[in-house]
Amino acid sequence: MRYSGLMDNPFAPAPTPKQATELEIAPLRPGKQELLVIAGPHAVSQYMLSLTARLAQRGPLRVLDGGNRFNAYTVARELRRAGTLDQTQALSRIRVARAFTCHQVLSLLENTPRRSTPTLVIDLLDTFYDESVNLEERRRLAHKCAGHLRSLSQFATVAVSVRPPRPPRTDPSGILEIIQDVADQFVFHQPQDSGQMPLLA
Amino acid sequence: MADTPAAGNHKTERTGWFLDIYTHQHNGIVIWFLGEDGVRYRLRQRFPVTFYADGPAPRLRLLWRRLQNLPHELELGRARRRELFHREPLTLLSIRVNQPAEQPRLFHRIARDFPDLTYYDSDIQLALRHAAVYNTFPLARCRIVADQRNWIQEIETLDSPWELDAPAPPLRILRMRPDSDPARSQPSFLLANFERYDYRLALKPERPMLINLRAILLHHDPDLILTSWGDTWLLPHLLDCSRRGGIPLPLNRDPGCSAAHRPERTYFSYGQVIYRGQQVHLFGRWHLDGRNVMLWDDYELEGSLEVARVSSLPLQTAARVSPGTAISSMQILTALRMGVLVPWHKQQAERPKTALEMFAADQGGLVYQPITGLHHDVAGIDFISMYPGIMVHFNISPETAGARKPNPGELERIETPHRGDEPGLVPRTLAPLLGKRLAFKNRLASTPRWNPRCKSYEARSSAQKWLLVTCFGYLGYKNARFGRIEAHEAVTAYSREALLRAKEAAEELGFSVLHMYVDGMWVKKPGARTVEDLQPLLEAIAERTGLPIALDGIYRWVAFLPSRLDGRVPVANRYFGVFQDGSIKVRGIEARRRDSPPFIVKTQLEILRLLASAGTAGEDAGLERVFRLLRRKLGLLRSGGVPVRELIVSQKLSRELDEYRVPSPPARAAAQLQAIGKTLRAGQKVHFLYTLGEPGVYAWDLPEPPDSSALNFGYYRELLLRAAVSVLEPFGIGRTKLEERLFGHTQTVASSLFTSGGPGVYARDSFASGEEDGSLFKRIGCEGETSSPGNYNNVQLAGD
Amino acid sequence: MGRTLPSITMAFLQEQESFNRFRRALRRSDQLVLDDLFASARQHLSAAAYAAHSLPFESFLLAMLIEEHKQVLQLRSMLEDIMAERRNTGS
Repeated sequence: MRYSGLMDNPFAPAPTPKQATELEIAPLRPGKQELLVIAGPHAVSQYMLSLTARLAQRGPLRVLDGGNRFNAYTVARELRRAGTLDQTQALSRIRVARAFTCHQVLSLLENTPRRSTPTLVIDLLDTFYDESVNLEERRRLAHKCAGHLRSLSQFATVAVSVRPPRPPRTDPSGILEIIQDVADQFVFHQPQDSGQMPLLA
Repeated sequence: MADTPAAGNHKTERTGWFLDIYTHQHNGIVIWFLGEDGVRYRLRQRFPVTFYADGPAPRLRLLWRRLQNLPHELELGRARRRELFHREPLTLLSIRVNQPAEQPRLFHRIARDFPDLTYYDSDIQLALRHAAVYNTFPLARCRIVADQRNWIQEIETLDSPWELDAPAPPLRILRMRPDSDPARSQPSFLLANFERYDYRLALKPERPMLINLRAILLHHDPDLILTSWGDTWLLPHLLDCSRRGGIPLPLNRDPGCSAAHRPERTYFSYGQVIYRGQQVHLFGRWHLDGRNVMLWDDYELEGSLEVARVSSLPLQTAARVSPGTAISSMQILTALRMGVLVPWHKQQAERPKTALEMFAADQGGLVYQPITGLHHDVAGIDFISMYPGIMVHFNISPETAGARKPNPGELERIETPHRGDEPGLVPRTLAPLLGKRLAFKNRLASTPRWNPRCKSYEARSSAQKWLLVTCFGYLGYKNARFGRIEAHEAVTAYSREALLRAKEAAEELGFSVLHMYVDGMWVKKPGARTVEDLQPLLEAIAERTGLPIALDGIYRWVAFLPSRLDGRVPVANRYFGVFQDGSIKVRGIEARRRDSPPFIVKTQLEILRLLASAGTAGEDAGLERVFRLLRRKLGLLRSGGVPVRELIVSQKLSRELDEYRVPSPPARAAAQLQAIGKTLRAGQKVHFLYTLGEPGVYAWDLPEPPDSSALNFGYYRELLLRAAVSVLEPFGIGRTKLEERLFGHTQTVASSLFTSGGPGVYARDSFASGEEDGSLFKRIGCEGETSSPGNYNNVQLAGD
Repeated sequence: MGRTLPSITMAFLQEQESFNRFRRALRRSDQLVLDDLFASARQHLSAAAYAAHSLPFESFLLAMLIEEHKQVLQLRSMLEDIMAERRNTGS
């Protein structure tokens, strides 16, 4: 597992000296089967939406929206900016489903067919920060989600974005760690880095 | 009261009204029954409850074995039951608990040890379970057969929640309140009233007070205790005194129970923070706190009784829950009656749609941009309870929607609703409620205003409307047990289509459409001025859409207002007008904002009334009267003649105090209260005044009265002028003209005085003079200033 | 309310914002005219919403054109009235 951008990441476990030197953010390789997890403010939604557009230019993909962030206008604008010839076709290749509770997030992941289509999960943990479900249950669900993400990544690339919990509350729940632990790559995205994260290899 | 049914055969049959229901600690349930003979009976009934578990067979077997070893009286079995979204029934483990009091704890224990299983029918209120079997609800008329130990043998409900004219039973009501608002000052007396008896008890010394109160309660034996601040202060205080003094207070009728305390809570709903104070529920009688009941301000007891009646929730619960919870309970009841499993957690997620489909699907109701300005002889037409009507008429339910996505071709079906389809869960739940509402609306239309029943009809009709308005939101996402976003989207798709067809009908009949908003429209045709003139249009719309439609009224005139920031930009929901009968309708302006100070609200409404009574010919005369009024009001303000309590601003705290980076005005006031030990939670309202200097606010509930010379009169003056301009603009009087007419010259206020953070510091006389090129907001618009709308809106407060 | 797609008003404001650089480089008097055009597009946001295009700017352009043409038609009609009056008074 490679960690990147570790300098200011309060969520990563203490790095071993070897990992600390790896500052380069490796871009997503759509053909490769791997699980990429990116953490950042607003669940890095701008980046994820750009990624959605880029992937849609190449072929079908699935998007799971766990935080009500799928702004279709943004995706459409990105497609246009990238010079997409057939806007409608590209938009039709994107299949989106939304989850409004953590149970629904699990249900979506359970029901995503294991295929060679890339899967993007935007803001996986938003509903997991909702304290109306008790912590034990949320952790249990997070573990199951992590398992499904792992399983999906055996078939195609899976990119997951998460946001840290809102300040001033810190997150002692350990839920983010559960997801981190199954990632092939974990990136912590700083706000100043916007525009510098490469999209695709 | 014996704890087990009698062995003998002696039975008594009685008729009366269903009052209260709750579980008995050890055995069965307790039902309080108001007999026709005037006696309040405490009855018992056996009532086992069943819940279900589903999952992999090995896990279920393990659970079975675990359950068998428990000391509870259980019956385990396998059952086939229908789940809403599955075609085939599920086979599940059924767990029947003989003692209902044990079920909740047992369930939570199992759920903790077997979290991976799926549970159904596991967290349902007793009243709903009982209603599903026996059709009972608060104040239902019943026939009950009980044995000599008061154990119910038979129970038959003779009444239905949909009955329009159910005769009301003679309830005994005791009213109690402290002699002052406990948040502001320590009360000294307890004031009570029962029919023609009035009591005034000194709260201290406590012993005599308790003894007297005890006597009052025993003597009058009320069914309902109506209080002010009973939840948040009075009852907790009385219970406390009782405990300390060792004198039992029979607040409960049931001596075996102690009153139930529910703590305060804050929760989020639709982007709003909602606060519920702590609650005290009684057993055997009802306690309602007029300050903590949902519909109280408008409809008092009748509204709450109606909610309890149609939802089957106990009155104490029905009065305090949000409409969403009430609707959810109704859906659960329907599910129980249909034999559909009620899931513990809502799992059903959205079916994927393409990004392309999102554009058409994820929209709300149709919202037009009105033709701004003043219009005469305009008809307001509304679909009655449009969204519920759509759900019922087109059979849109979570389990039926999603299978077909409404696209333009599909919407032709709007003419041929699926009567062949089995009615879905939601339409089944809503249809009787909608029917009752329509029936009441008709009643109201044909009942003259002087008839005393009018108020009761209005109260009940509004309670129904309150419920129906929510059920749309409930069809959707988060916490609704049976919600489905596809159903939500289908409803809005039909509503947009219906509104467009209504527009087409209007235009074909020669009307011009001034404005449309989700479920209503405003139309105008030269010469169309009476109800008869509008009939053909109403009929055409009803025919083309299949939905019930009504004339809201014919306006003598109505003004649609533009954006405050830019006079060229129309805004959907800001208007005011006068109907032909003289009544005024207002939306979106200061008079309707809940945070406006009463002084501003009253003045604006007075202006409207003056404009309304002027009539078209006398508009100029009306304006003169308005200017006189304003001069008078401004004079009062300047001289300190406005009572301070009329200047109170009321805003909600949008978050906990420590979460504010930059405290908004309500936050600053709340901080003042916190400094003296009064903590306010997110979602609670803060009352305060605007003052000069820092911090710019003064909390109303502080023990010391505010220093009237410190009040920021300049700020209130500005608020008043803006409120006046809001309603005078359509008549050609913008800010500049208004100032000319009022003062003979203009004194425009520099916008920098209202930058974010609040009104800032400035004395009454320091108005900077600005340029004079038209009214203030037009100037900002033309300059293309993209500075934050906070410039203007901070005054009224969105700033939170 | 839980909707995911931004409202048409927000989409409009975003489109307007994307022309900020264009606006900046215009003369002041032309900026005011551009603002007027954008304001006129706001008269027909509901139609743009209902059209549900993924790139709504074309709908906004049509809206601007509708308002513009309304003015032309009005002016044309006023002009015709004036000219007819002139003919009638024989000047």
